[in-house]
Amino acid sequence: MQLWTEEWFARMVDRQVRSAGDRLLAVFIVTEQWIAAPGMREQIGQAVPDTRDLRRYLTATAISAGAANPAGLATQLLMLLQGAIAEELRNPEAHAMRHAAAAARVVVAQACRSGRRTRLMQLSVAAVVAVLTMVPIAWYAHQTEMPPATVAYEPDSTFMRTAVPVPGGVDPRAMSAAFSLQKKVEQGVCPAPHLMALPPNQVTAYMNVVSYRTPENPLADRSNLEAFLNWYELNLGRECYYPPIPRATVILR
Amino acid sequence: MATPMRDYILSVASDLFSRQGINATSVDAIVAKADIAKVTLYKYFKSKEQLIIEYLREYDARLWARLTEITAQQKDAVSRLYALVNGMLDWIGDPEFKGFAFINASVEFPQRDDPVHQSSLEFARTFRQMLTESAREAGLKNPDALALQLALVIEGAAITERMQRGTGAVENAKALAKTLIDAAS
Repeated sequence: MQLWTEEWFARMVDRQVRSAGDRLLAVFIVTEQWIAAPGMREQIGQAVPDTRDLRRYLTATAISAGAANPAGLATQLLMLLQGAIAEELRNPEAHAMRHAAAAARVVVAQACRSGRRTRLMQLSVAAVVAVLTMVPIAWYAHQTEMPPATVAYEPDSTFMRTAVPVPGGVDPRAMSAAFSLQKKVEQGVCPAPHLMALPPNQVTAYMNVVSYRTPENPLADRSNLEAFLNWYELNLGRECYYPPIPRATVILR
Repeated sequence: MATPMRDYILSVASDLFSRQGINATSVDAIVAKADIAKVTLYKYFKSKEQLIIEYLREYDARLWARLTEITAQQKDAVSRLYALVNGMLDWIGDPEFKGFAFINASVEFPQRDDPVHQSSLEFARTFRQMLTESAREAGLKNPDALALQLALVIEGAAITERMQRGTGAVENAKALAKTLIDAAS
């Protein structure tokens, strides 16, 4: 899971909600969205995830949430995440990540109850409960045919390898491409795009990503960002200059 | 046809499979390690595939024997549920633990119609059913969802424990399972 080592992952999570307890749960939502993105399941495959960054993030967030045993809570959440990913890859129909999020809510609530207990915390837990109950309702309303509330576990007959399409959302790969481009522009490796000369929608799509703004129209942003990246690659990509690395030996054959 | 020779070949193969992976172990390697003729191996096992399936079956049988021994002592459904989950977690905490054979096999043979993949699913499916039944018998809320959550905890613990030993994965997983079961009752 390269997702967890990307710096924007933590920003994505931080942006979703304010309180630390909710952020621990938002990790599940962002990961679920990431897995549901087209073609992502195939890509994750058997890669062994690097969980050190995520563990650090979870522990730090658990401390701000006032959990009784932050390191233990981080380990528990990490276990839930990894188990859910394995199950999601095998059997997407079971919605393992959603069940894991529900389990995480119970665990986080329990850990924070025995830790610091404030009125704000209770309010935010109530908000998460509301959000988590709204998500399935919105999902079911979106489906034309209602799926059963609990899916029977029959991995071989109901298994689908095709990715579940998400309604909207910018392609994570395009997003990381935009970030790396922005970094290169800042370092002076690549020329800055002439934003005035571009179609305004594409500029908006690019700027939304690099400045971590929520897109107003994610679907349009998705295609506009791709168009922008293609345009850049075609017109300016070859002007990127990579300064030589000191003491690097180049072997030409 | 359980002869000493057959058991011996199976034990050598099992050891290699669990230590270096199923695909990475060739029949030649098994034959060399066991110090027998290749013909002898093929006399007892028609193919490598059959050897793998026998290995999974034996592994499942050992795990089941262990679990039934623990659960038989329990009187009510809740303690049976705890015994199932904790039994699996104790197995993970064993220093000899090298990942669940059936999970590893399903990763190494991802094709759905592959016979190895099929038999690798068997254990997980039966285990999940047992969890659901115990939860239902104990009158817990949403037995299906709870069984799935507990299975996630066990698999996650297995992954965490195998990657980083000594992070207390098993103890944390037990506490996590207890929280989930408490919340459902």
